[in-house]
Amino acid sequence: MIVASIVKDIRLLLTDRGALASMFILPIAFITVFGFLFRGQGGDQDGKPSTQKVSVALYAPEGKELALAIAKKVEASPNLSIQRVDSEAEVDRLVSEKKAQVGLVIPADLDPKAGRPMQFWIDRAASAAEVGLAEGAVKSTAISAYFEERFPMAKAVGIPASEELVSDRAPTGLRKKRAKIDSFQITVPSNAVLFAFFMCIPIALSIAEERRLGTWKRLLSSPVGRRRMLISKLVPFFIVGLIQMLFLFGIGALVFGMQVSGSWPAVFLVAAATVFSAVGLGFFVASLGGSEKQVASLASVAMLVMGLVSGCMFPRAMFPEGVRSVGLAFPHGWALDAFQDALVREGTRIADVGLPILVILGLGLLYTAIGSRLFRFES
Amino acid sequence: MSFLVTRGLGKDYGKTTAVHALDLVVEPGEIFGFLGPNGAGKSTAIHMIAGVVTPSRGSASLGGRDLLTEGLLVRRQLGLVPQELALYEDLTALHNLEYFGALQGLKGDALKRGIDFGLAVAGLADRAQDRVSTFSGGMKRRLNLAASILHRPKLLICDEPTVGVDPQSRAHLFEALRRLNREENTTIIYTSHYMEEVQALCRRIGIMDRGRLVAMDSIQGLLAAHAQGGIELQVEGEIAAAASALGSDMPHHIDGRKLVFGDGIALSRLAARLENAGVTVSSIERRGNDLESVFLKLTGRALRDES
Ligand SMILES: Nc1ncnc2c1ncn2[C@@H]1O[C@H](COP(=O)(O)OP(=O)(O)OP(=O)(O)O)[C@@H](O)[C@H]1O
Ligand SMILES: [Mg+2]
Repeated sequence: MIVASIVKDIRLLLTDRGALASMFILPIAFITVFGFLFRGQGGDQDGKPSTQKVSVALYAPEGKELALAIAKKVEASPNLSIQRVDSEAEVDRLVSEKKAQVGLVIPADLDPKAGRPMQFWIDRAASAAEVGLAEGAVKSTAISAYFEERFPMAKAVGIPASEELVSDRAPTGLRKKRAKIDSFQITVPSNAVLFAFFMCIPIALSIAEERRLGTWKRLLSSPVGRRRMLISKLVPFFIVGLIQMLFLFGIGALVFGMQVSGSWPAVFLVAAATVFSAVGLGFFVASLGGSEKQVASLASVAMLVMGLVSGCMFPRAMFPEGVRSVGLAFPHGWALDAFQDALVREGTRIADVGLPILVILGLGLLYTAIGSRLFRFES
Repeated sequence: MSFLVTRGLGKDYGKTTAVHALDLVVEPGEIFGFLGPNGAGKSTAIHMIAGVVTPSRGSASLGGRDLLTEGLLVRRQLGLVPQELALYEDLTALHNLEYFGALQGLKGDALKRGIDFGLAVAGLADRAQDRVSTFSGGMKRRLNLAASILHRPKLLICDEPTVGVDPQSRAHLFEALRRLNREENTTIIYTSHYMEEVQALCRRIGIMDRGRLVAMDSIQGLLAAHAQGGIELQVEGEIAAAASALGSDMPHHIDGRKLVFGDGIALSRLAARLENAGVTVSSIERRGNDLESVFLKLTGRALRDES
């Protein structure tokens, strides 16, 4: 009977071009547009004043005049929030533990020509926009400070970044990551998560439609228990959601060359948990009742808001500090973080995404439980 | 032993009582008619029997099994034809039946036989591969019936199955129901607000009004106990206008081109009222004994508001 329901609901879905388009075509369109738009790490680099400060762990030991002067200029920058520390190891630790977005070391005997450049620490596996933002703010400040000190004339010219001036360092407390993140490693999972949760709408609509058609009465009057009836109503959407995820990540990898540096099995498990949670949320939406029109309009607004605050549309790192963690109230935020790890960090194992998967499943169960309390079989 | 028995079965929706307390007995192999105007509680009553609506009070049993405690077993023997066209219009007839058959627990050969049976009864075997959305209203109604009999239920409950159907399709449906009753010994409960239908199909009927069963008997029994003749008027011009000239003290209903009154109507007052309103009476006749007048007498109102 559950198999028959799956067959029936998938047949119905195949006749519904609109639903198919919004499940498979629309997310691909979003992925494509934003993927190419943000190729090469985002547009926020060009010195636009950012709404929030970049946090910097700064180690600048008492040294030569040059190092001191640069440290002072960096400290005075309005875009940076500076935390002075006493050793390079401390910089490493703070960046590794994400207590600072960026680390900057200005050696006492700073001399780029002699191979003693400033050192720039960042977790490149963080979201592209965050990396771009922080890197731009800190490097440009440090470099312009250097040039202002050494060649006061150069101020007006606008000298570009120089590799020998600032050398890149990776925080050691983090797992290895790829040197460069491609934009599709961000747009594929964000849109996959966003659109997976849009599944709530067809779920709720489908139940409302069965009630309107009267086929719900056939279900109720059939020798099928009510719990089994619900399961048979939800399982088809779980399967379709999995297909949607496979499709989006498959296209991402095969067409857009999205790299999976972490682990495909981890990606798959996070995806499955996400779909589970989306189906649970869909059941919750359905349990609120309401007409098909109400469901469609209210649920789409709710899904957009959830997607927005949890970073499916703009990386959470771009949000003000206080708002950033709000995204973790929803499975979207956890899914995005877990996908990020599974896609970007080399050596990610399933255990590394265990916690987010549990949280995502837990939230899905919570929605299902609330839904079961509110759901009315008879209207 | 009686097949279906309900005791004090009732349903409240908040403050409205859809059905007060239904005491019903239906014998095996019987075609039982439920007659009542819109909102009488017919659908609610049969939904309680079919497991669609949980009763607020009372009990019921089918073939000796309790409806509430042995619901799954009871529902195996039961088919409901909902008042709506409970079909997926975007799927083919066959795909609809495959799904609804599976709901009844049919699979493999049994499912195939059930579907062939349903299609044959509905006369739709040659349209099985077509989408339901391409069907006429009558064909959809027939498929609505077919979808409910795939498992050959012992009790078939039809909720106004002929709404929006042309006379030919209606005749086809009636024939199908009679055959099910005759050849499969299917017990049938048939709700309608059409006298002719119930009169043509059922030996025994229950009359519902405002959530109560106001009478239950064979048609002959009801006519003998309650029929009261009546008067039929035909008027020139708009019949609705003529009807609106009558007050609530002159209970009546409109039947096609005729205004129908119960026997107790004061003819002189009626004539005066119509004359005052400028209505010309073109014919006046005594009406034969029929269920319509039984209904009027029992409930004080017409079965249907319009034609
Ligand atoms: N789900 C519900 N919620 C609230 N009230 C309801 C519900 N279902 C039925 N009712 C009320 O119960 C009463 C009986 O309705 P029911 O549908 O059983 O009548 P019916 O005889 O089948 O009418 P019809 O001929 O129009 O189908 C009506 O007053 C109706 O408004
Ligand atoms: Mg009804």
